[in-house]
Formats: sequence, structure tokens, C-alpha cells
Amino acid sequence: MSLERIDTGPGFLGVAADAGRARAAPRAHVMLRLARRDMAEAERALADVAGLTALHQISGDYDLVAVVEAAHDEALDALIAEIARLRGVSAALASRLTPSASLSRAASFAT
Amino acid sequence: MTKSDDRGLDDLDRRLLAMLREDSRQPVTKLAGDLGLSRANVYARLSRLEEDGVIGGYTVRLGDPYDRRLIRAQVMIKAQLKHAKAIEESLAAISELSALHAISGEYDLIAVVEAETVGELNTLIDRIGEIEGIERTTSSILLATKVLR
Repeated sequence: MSLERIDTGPGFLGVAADAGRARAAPRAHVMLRLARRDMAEAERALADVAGLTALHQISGDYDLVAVVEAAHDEALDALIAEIARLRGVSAALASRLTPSASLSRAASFAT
Repeated sequence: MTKSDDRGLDDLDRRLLAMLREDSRQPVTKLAGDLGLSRANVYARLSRLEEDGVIGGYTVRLGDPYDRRLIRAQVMIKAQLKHAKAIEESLAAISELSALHAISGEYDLIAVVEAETVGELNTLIDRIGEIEGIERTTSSILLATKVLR
């Protein structure tokens, strides 16, 4: 798939997660530092990861934010490990999203 | 009984899709009311349509060029546990905040904020850092979104 820049406004975690209709899917926010020369390759590999719902380029200590989701906690751990091991990724900081407290004004469905 | 076509869609599914095409932000309560269905029924239909791939996703159509100019940043927040509730309330009161998520790990919260200029963004991040009970923040400007699905 191509990695064109998407000029959307408020999307952050991914379509379903931002809509606030999160079923029980455990999610994680993973910041990644990349070796500059491997950046394009790492981005393509990340885009191919099935559980990835969002990928943003950011400024600062880390280069990318990946948001991933899985059917259960063990699968999420495996997914985080998988993306941290990708070629070109030199550091990863993973944070699990706690579904209890989420506020998204970008919600597609404001029930 | 309504007729289903070869994709398994009935008349109500098609009306639901038509309404979402018009405005995908309509509350489920409103969709349910207009279709004469229960909310649970509408949720079930949406889940099925999503699982069957009839609905591939919900997107935003930006009409106002203003939205494209906004600078967005994610602010990772380390908070003192005893102030958690007050912090969340203070953050929710900030109108430039577009999302707030609780996380576990090195940080406790992620806030997504929007500003018109880098100066305003800076002020906004300072304001967040000054909230009582926030130990430290780490901010990153969202430079580009590569994948959103």
C-alpha cells in the first residue's frame, strides 16, 4: 500500500477507536524511534501490520506513533513485540490504553 | 419482513447507509428514532455491516480549510494518582483539547490538542503543565498521519 500523507483533521487512534464505540479490543499506543536510513521501509512494514489502526509521524525524541489493537491482551503483547522488532526500529515505548477514561471530541458517533 | 438482496442487506440497512452517507456523525439514538428501531438493533446492524465490509470505515470530509491549518500535538502526561480526577476535569475543560486517553505505562494520560500557531500551541502546553498534580509532560507535534483505519 502507498503511504501518502492523509490530510484529515481529528483522527488519532484509528477510525473505530476515535468513534468511541470501542468494543473490548485492547489497544496500545507505541512510540517508535527509527534509524533514519530505514524509515521508509519501517513505515511500509508497519502499514502492513494487521492490527495497526493509526500511524503518525511526530516531532521529538521519537519518530512515529503506532496505535495497535488485538483480540486479547496476550495477542496485543505479541503485536507490540512484533513492531518493536521490525527492522529499523531502534527504540519503542508502549502504553496500553485504559478504556475506562477516554474522551474524544472527534467521535463519529456521539451516543 | 423486508426483502434482502444478494449481499444480505434489507431495506432498513439501505436506509441506514443512506443516512450515514448524509451525516456519519448522527447519534445512534437519532438513527434509531428515524428508522423506528431500537438502539441495540442499530448497533447490531452497524456491527454486521462493518464485519461484512459493507461499511469500510467512517471518514471526515473537511469543508473548512481552517481545519487543515491547525497544528496538532500529542501531550503525554505523568500525573500524581491522588489528583487524577481533578486533572482529567481540568483537561476536559480546555476547549483546544480534541482527545484525552488514559494509558498505563510510563505516562498516565495522552491528550491531543490543536492550535492555530506554534505560539498558541506552546501556551497551551504550558497551561497543561501548570495544572496541579501534573508532574511532567512530553509533547510531540503530529507532523503527518500515514495510516488511519
